[in-house]
Amino acid sequence: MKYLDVFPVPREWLSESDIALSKTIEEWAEKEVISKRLSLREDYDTLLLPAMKTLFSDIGLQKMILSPDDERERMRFPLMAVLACEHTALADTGISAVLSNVLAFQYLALSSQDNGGRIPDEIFKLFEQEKPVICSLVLPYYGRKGQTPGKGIAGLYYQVDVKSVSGGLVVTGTGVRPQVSGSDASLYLVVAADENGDPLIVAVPAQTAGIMLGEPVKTTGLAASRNADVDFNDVEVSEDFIICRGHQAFIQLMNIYQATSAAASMGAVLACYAIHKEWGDTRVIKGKGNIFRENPLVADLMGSIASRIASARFLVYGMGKMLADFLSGEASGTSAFFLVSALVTHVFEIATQCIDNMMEHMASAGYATEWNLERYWRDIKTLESYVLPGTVSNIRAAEHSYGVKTL
Amino acid sequence: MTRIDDFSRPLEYLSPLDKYLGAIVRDWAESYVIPFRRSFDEDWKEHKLIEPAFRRLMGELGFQRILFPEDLGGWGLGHSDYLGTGAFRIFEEIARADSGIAVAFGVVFWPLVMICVEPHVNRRLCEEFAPMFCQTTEPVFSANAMTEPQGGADIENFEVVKGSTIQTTARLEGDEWVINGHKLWPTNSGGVADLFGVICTTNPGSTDPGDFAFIFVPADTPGVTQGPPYQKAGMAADKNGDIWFENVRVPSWYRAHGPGDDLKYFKEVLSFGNMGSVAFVCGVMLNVYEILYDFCSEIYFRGKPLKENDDVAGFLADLASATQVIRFSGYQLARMLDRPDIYGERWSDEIVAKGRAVKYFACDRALELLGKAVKLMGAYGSDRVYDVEKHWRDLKIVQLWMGGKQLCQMEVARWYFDCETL
Ligand SMILES: Cc1cc2nc3c(=O)[nH]c(=O)nc-3n(C[C@H](O)[C@H](O)[C@H](O)COP(=O)(O)OP(=O)(O)OC[C@H]3O[C@@H](n4cnc5c(N)ncnc54)[C@H](O)[C@@H]3O)c2cc1C
Repeated sequence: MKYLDVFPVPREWLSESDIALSKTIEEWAEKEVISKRLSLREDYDTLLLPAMKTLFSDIGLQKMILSPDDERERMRFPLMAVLACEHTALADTGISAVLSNVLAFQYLALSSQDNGGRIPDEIFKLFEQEKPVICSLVLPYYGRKGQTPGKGIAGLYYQVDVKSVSGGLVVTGTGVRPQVSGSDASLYLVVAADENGDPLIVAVPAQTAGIMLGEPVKTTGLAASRNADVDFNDVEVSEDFIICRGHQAFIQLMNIYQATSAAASMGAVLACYAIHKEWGDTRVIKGKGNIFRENPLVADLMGSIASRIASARFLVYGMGKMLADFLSGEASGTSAFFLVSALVTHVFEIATQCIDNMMEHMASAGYATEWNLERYWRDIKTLESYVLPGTVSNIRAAEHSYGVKTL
Repeated sequence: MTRIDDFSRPLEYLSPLDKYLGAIVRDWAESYVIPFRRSFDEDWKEHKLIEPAFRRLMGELGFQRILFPEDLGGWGLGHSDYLGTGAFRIFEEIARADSGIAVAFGVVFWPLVMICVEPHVNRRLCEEFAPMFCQTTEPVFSANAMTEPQGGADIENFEVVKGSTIQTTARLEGDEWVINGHKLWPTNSGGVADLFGVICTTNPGSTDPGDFAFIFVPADTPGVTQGPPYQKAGMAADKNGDIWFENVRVPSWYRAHGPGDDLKYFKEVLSFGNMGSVAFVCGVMLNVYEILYDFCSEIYFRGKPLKENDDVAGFLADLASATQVIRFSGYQLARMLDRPDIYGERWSDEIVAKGRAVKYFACDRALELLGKAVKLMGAYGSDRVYDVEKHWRDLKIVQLWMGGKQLCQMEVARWYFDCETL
């Protein structure tokens, strides 16, 4: 399927290496996932983990920019990240969600280096392994009675505490819910408050003593992300493991994570479009000889689906471009932040509604595992629920555009 | 605190038994379904966890008998003025716990509507099948086999397609029907059904209403083969699969009524399908309300319980008001089926269209709000522990079945706007 021709994005934003990357991932998707999923379904050990290994470790997406040569390519990282997550989700949204966490770490590491920071060797080495490296973000979330919301993080609560002790840090938190792969993480990237209440982003290797995994969380979808609640029982790490600090860094983390997640939802919707199209090309409705897609009521909804996909795809690449411009100093971080959180909500809405509509057309075939549409439908709903709790992003958009101040 | 009973219903429509039946089903749901339902997805093939719930409700408590006449061991609901509202209450209570079980239960009666309900009771067929359902404490299932591989919507779209696409054939040979064809997707197929109501044509390609036949086929009749259940996005308690009929022979009097009347009363089956679908939606909405009540009281945002945040409360109000409106309109629809003397025959185009209108409105609104509920709950929304995502997945098919949304739209437009070619 030539998605770029059907739903184009501005070509001048993409480099030759982007196009090559998209081809590589499309080939991987077909070979490692799509051709096997009818028999292997959503099995982690036989389908999803081997596919992640090939993509992350062999093809190398887990170390895309950790040791980059070309400065210009480094600056284009957000655009590449968006493209990579979108294409990965053509095969499997869950793998893409896991990838988006890995890429978020890389992005932070990159900006930290740009600011004179250094990623400890111990962590660098993780990414050189011949197995998929899974980063798992631990972001602020809803709270419970008695807890105090974090300062300047939209009414949410830090899930972990980080305290400085002589020469190191102690991380604590109970029943912490990571964004992805709590059970399989190689590295947790936790966001906590520093001594001033400002965000502090710390890498905690999963092997560190004191980390306890809870029961696997059963979720609607995203089988590639085996999540579990995690207890951090006085987990000690070196101060070197602080990757970034401050609101700006937190905003960058959220930007890249949300933009790549939206890209994953875009990949899912494109994959569904291919399934829906194939189905509609031959299905007959309203009696013999009447092809489904040629029915005006059907075509009306198809057209609406297509125009929503086209606009959402523009938005997703637009987010990537804005974040790239921000990295190279061509745009302001605040406006990027506003745009990303507002647009991500919108893209997810479009993606979930379009897949809903496609399932409505395909009726029982849409609902049946055999046709694969329903798995994307479950996956992006799960991803949406993780990425965007509640009304947070709308309020952020209102802060930026209407001057809302107290929420 | 459970406050679902605060969602009003028109009390003057309800049967004197409503309270008791509702309480029995709610008790059953609390003991046999709600504690286990979040493991139902893994149980889709075996039904090890699900089967005891069916056994208790249908066999031991005897709910599978409700439609049959009392003198045949049934509870006589088919003769009652409270058929619609009574069924709505039972379906709603079951769906509050699990809409898949509600569907599987509801479909037990779906084909039986053809023969057990006044004014078109087929006494001979009631006598034939009543013992199967009424003289056992084992659960017994029926299935309504309409959908075929080439499509389900067209078979229900009788006004336009006029049965011309039905490929399952019934040929009269002596005093037997010989049935050949391939059906798929009926609720309670996948090896479950004991009795099928099969939609056939007696003259393939014909658009004559007289060639539409509704014929009962016991599942153990030679030539009937049921395939394994399909895996699907939700509704694990409802098994669906292929059924092949190969030279299946049943007595000629297993046809529900005969030329013309089979189609006429089949439209009543559609009306009950619409009403049942709204009841499933309503039960789900009530339970989501209960879950969100607790969740939004316990979980904090901006330093206070979620529900005390105005923006969240705005959504909660949307959910409550939709639940209230759907419940009102669902009971009104049920009442219209109870009182054809006031509202018109259940099989009339008007009642079918009005049922479709309520059904697709309820489904669309509920799914939109359930989707938002999952999102509001954040990572807990897609966590099976809270059951909201299960309801969202399960309910999706209620919107898609019976011809899907587009067929609903066309039937509604046709009736309200006098369209002639849709
Ligand atoms: C859990 C479950 C339970 C089910 N239970 C039963 C059952 O008990 N008995 C049974 O027979 N079947 C059952 N079905 C099948 C279901 O009723 C059919 O899926 C449904 O009727 C649609 O048929 P189809 O899937 O073949 O899609 P199609 O008939 O191919 O229709 C596809 C789409 O075409 C569109 N469409 C339909 N009519 C029109 C029109 N006039 N104009 C424009 N567009 C139109 C709609 O979007 C529709 O979704 C069940 C399915 C599931 C998943």
